Amino acid sequence: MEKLSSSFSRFRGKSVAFRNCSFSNPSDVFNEIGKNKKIKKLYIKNCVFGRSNWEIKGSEKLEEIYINNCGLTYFPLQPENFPKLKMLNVVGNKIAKNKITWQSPKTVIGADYQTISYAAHELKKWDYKQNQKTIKRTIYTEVGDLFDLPSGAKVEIKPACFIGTGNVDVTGDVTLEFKEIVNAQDFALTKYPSYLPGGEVADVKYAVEVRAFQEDKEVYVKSDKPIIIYPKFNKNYALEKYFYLNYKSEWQNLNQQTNVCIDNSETEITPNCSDYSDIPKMMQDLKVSKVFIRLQRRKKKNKLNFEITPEYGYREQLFNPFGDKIKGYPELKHYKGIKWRYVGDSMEQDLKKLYFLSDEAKAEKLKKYNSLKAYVLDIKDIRVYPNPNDDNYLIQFIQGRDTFSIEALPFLTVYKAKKIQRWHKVKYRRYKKALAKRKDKWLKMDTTFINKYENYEVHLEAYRINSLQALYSIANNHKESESAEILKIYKPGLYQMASPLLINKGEIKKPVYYIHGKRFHPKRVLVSNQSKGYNFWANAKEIPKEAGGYTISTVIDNVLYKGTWGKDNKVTFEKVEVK
Amino acid sequence: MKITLSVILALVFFNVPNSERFKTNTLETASNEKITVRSLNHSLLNQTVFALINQKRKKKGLDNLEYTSSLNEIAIKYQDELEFRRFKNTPSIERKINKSLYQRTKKAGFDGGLVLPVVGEFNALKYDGKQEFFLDKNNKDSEFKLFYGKKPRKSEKDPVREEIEALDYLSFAKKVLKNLESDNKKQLYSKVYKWGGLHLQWYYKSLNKRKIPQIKMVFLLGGYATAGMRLE
Repeated sequence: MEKLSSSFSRFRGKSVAFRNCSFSNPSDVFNEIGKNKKIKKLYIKNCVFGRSNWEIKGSEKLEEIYINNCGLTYFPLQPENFPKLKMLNVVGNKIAKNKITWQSPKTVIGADYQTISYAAHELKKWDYKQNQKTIKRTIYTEVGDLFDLPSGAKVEIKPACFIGTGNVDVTGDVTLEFKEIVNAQDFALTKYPSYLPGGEVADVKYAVEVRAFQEDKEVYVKSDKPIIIYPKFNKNYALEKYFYLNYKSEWQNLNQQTNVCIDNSETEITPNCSDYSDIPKMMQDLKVSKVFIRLQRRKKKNKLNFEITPEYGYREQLFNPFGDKIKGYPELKHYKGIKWRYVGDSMEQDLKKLYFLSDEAKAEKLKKYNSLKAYVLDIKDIRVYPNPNDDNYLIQFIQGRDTFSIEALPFLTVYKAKKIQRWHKVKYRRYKKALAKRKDKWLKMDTTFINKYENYEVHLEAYRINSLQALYSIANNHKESESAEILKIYKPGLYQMASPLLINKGEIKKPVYYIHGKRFHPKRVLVSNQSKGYNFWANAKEIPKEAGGYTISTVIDNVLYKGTWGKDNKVTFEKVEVK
Repeated sequence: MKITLSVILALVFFNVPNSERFKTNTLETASNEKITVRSLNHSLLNQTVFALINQKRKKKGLDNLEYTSSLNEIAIKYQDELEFRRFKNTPSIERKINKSLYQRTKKAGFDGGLVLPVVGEFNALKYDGKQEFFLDKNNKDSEFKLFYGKKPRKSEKDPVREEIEALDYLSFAKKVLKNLESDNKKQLYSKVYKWGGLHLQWYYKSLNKRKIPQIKMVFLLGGYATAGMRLE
């Protein structure tokens, strides 16, 4: 729900109820409620909110407000603005009891929650360090990318979204580095800042550090094309998004709004008819040319030569009356018939990589034969570069998600040094020119294809609506609820999606620590509630505890120790091997 | 007046770049020292030849060759392997070296893809090439024991024969350069090559014989095959 109609002020009912609603900007709806002079009761049940700073505007008539099972962590109203309010029921939320400062109205909370905060001096000393293994992914900036991270979060990179220093557009390959802070180990080893801007302990639902590099130089994201991350949550949460200012040890609220009104239902269409002769069809297909790779290995001499030939030739015809359906590699014609000599240091590994680009590759063939032919499928791109670190070429293969480069030199029939240099120079100049042209052509082909596909979808939809309604039975199936929360990345660094940590009926406990069979007195420890899935740093002597399974971790000389915190209040630390 | 002049000279001296000063020092030492068998100063000899080649390259408007220790090491290895081979038929020796040169330089850490050997064998004495000479094995004063003229007869009293003198390092280097120019001019003075390394040593088989002693040279030139690609 986006807004309430302005005529709502003339509504004559005595109560209004919102059930199972999603509000992307709740303030727009609840500002209108107070304008009505008749409503005495307001019910909000099982609703989701896109912001966590909204409020119900004051009302002179409202007597009872029920906000239940909405996952709120604060009171969304100021009681002094509701002079006639007698009952405020917020059962089913996570609101701390110590937030109530008023005498009336009667307030039913339903649970005994409490928040915890760090002292200001503790935050100053915080020393977050991203020293963990990152997930690297090289993308082709002109095209962008959509892929999954190990936690299941989806990442969307828009085409041409990077800029370098001096606001220069970045073209070519960019390597993205992601570190998701998911488990207790990540929180412990990075000394994760588990707090919110006000110093309250945070219940972190998702955290990730993102950086992008081109040739070891950091590149940045354009403000109008942020990287979008869709984290995977089991429940709907109202989460705020924060960016970590490392130099200040502070979190900054990004005030990013979330569209929680995304419809997750999926339409299931069951056909009742078998005649589809006039159904719209997608007439044009677009695919990337396959590539032959002929490999020749001399085991005894430890040498490897190979040739690359696009399956459909070089596809350089300028005029194609039937439309281009295959993305070719016309730029490779400049290296046509050239045998490449492998000059890298890890021949066996690179040979395997090259050979297993083919779907039909068999391990026993690789062991047995010297000469092999590989028929490579679904290649996204092949590029040739001068190697920045050596006097040879890097041939880069991009296939699906995998990108790898091998060092090679072409066999030449010229022997004079000057002519050799000239050969490389001229060939590469022509290759580069042709590559730029081909990139343009591919972009145009992609655009045409996408336009045609969209057109086809429109026709298909129209066909469904106008011609087939009677022939189909349509049913809406609700998919497993997926989070509509998104995180927009504008600059490199650490991001978190979190809410204040609320502990239900918490009691202060004093755990007793043991390490190698002896008493141990750590200063700070990472407390992890495994039942509720939260992690936070705490003073080791006194820790608030609620129901659920707990583990406590500590880091000594960069080694992680972890122990279960049971009912006997004992924690025996054991070394954890980090993979 | 004297003090002012010395100050000016000192200023001029200190304003000369270090490499230039080092080169001048090398050439000065090379012109004063004579080549010997027992204590041949390899590094001085290598540096002198290298400096003269760079001098010539500079005259032709080319960049100096950069002395590369990895190429030098490889040159020493080839000298050891070919210790007993004559370097008269240079194309044959160069072909032989060329077969394994790329692999070896890469292994030694030189990352250029263009490598070329230049070899040669040169007289180490100031011999004019025309006069008759003989070897006096019993003469203990002379290091090379080679003298102009005919061997004195036993009946000859107080025979006087002129000794064939050894060349100084600089003159030898100049001779090397003159010889190289005729055969390998193009390679040595090509802008394709940016790095160099060399090693000169005695051809031991030419010593203590009625022969002019020879010094053999292996000069390795290095360059980038893909240099042109990077400029664009």
